[in-house]
Amino acid sequence: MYEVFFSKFNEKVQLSESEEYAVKQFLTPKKLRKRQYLLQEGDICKTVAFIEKGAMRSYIVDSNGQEHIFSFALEGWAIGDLSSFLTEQISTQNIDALENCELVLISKYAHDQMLISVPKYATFFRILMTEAYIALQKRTLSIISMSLDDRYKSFIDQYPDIVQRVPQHMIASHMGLSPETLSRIRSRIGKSQ
Amino acid sequence: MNTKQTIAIIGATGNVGTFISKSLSKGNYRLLLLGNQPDKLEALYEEIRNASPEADIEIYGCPTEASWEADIIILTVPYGSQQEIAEKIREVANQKMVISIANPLNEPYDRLATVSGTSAAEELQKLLPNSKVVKAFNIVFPAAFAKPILVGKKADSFIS
Repeated sequence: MYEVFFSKFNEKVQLSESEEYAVKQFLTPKKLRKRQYLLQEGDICKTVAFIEKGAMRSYIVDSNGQEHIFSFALEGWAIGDLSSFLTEQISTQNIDALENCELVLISKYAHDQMLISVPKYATFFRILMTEAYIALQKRTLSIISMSLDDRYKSFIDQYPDIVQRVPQHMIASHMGLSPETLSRIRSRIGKSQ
Repeated sequence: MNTKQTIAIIGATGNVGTFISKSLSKGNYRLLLLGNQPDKLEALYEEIRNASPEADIEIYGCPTEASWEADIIILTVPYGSQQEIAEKIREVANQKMVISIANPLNEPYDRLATVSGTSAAEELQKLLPNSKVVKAFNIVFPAAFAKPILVGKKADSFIS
């Protein structure tokens, strides 16, 4: 139920048996069916989800009803509206399952408790945040400075699993492109290889 | 809340369970129905389907699986079965809300089975230390349920 979660945790911060036990008390095991929502816009994001099995995405819907995918998450990754989670403000994001999922949820309550009672959780969270920030920085730079072809190549280099598991039109949305544009990029890259 | 919650109703074929299932089927919930009488369960499923064709309901056999998927778990089983079910769901009900409606009556239903100083819900809380056990709906006898009651809001029942 928590193998991937603790494997990731220990990768970043080593936990003793008793510390692992302490963290376990605060975890919520959750199964989500494909297309079920973890969060719908208009709600406060009350949990962050770690993926044991499956894949999820987060997206917003603009005023024209168009979806814009913000992020994907596969096994070992976390997903959630961080801003809504930490500030307890209403979220504009939707988070749903792309496949049947097994999740480990951490509620705001559990998060706040663990920050106090399990010091290594605070370290774990800090490391997750810094890694996420660095990834976001990389992504922003690639959006503003790279050619579309290079952006796509960089994306599939860094996240090869996503391309296997996620439909092309969703990758296009995540990159801010139309499916047709992404198609053209892929065939250009295909021809040059 | 916009996000549809999943509610597992363990003991949906009992009087209270049936009532709760039908009431909740009108709300924005995904219901997982469990009971130990398969034909009664089927009948309940059909009845809800006919009344609300778009209701998101499913029959489940395993309380562990159902509770794993659920956000909220409602136990509408007799006090005597409480411990057995609690054991099955303890791990997957971690940090989840578990609503108990058991009146701790003994078998002849003529007095309380719990020792004074403790209640069925308190005992359930001990069996599920990391779940949020809430006691509800247990003052009104099952046959007397006449008005629709939504979880958390009620006319004449108390939730503690």
